[in-house]
Amino acid sequence: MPLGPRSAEDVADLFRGAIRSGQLGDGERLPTVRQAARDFGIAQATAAKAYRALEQEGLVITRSAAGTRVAPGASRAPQSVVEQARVLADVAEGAGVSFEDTVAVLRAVWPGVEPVEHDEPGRPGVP
Amino acid sequence: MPPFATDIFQYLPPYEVAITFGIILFVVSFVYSRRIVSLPATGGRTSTLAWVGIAGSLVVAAAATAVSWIAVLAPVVDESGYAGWWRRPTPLLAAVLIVAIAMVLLRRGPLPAPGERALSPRRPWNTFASRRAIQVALVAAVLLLVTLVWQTAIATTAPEEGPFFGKTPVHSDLPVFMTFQFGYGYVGGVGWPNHYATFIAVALAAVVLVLALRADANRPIPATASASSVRGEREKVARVLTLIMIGGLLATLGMVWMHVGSIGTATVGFDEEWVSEQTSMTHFNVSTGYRDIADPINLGGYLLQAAGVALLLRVATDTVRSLLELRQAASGIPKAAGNAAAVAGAER
Repeated sequence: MPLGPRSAEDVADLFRGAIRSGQLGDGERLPTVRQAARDFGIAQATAAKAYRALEQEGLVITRSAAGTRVAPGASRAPQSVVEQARVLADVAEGAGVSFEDTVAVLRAVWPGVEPVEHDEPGRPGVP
Repeated sequence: MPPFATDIFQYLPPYEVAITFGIILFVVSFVYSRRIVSLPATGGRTSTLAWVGIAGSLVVAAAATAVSWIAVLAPVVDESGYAGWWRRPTPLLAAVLIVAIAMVLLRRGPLPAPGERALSPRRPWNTFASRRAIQVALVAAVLLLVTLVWQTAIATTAPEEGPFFGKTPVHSDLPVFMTFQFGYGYVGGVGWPNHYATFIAVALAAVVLVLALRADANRPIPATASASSVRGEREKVARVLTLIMIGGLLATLGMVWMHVGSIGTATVGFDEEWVSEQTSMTHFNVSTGYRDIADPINLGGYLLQAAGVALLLRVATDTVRSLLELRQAASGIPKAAGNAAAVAGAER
């Protein structure tokens, strides 16, 4: 889906959503201001303004050496969990396993969570 | 040994030349016939990566061969005591140059338009690199640095009047000598003048490889691209760059060990007694401080130098194999079942 943000608030909204949804994990490093400006096709000053807004909200922490990172507790999960979730998504997609089946497998292996029963094994790509 | 084998050995270059044992190890490496590198079928950077994999690795192998051949042709007596300072790091510097050029060329590949790029975190440099390849590179770099520090630490200056043994250099005020038998004499070939260029090459290799891998790991991803296709393409790029650097690193480590082992074997016999006109015996010999381990270091150097060249030749060959597979697939020529299986998991 094309992103196409034009203003600092648009960019901040995108990162806010990514952090709160768990797309970016606690402690994970955001792109540099220069990279963000290039990715969104905006001025570096606009990207820097967006990062400052996120910092004021307590969603990110900026340290000169470590760059800008997601603040502890701002996301749904820490960096290690989100990274492993990305790997799971990569592997599942590469193996042709659908999102629904992947989630069902996750439910099945999660301790204490009731697995979803199926009459027949799920087939990739079949709704 | 059968007669034809003797004939083959007669036509090989001298054993000190990197390509000699490199070719032998390269042929032996096909015991493991699966490709060690593959080209991505998607991503628009296949031809650039093919050039890097084929021409780049051959340039590094040629550099290793050329400098080792120059070393063979050089005079036996190293008059300065540090004549080989530029030869040993040359394969590694060639690999640094190739990876740096590859970094620039690969950055020019097609990118999604601004605003159509996926939102992703800033990835660490080793995100798509093979953990095993990085470990091999790290071990080789540590072995090289330990050797360089050791050879620099044992260096000293020597008084002009000597005594000097072995391949005696003309006198220099530089610390290029190691003491021989607890100060009994001096042998040239150690110290920072011999190894500073290799130190610089290792530092450059680390910086350039990390920068190249980090730049590629953080290339923008189209918002619509599948995660697995992006990962596959990035892993293939990282693998080619890392293996070229490992090839240069192993060749340089091998050359350093050959040199260190060679000067460490210096032995001087004393109190010579002639038992006939042609034959004499010495009552005692004096050697360098690490004479006992000098031979294994020297032989290990031959092996490592050859391993580096064999790896580079293998990268070039496997890149060609992968390119041919892709062209076959693109032109719709049906492949044999075995070939298809090789393509499926070749890069793992």
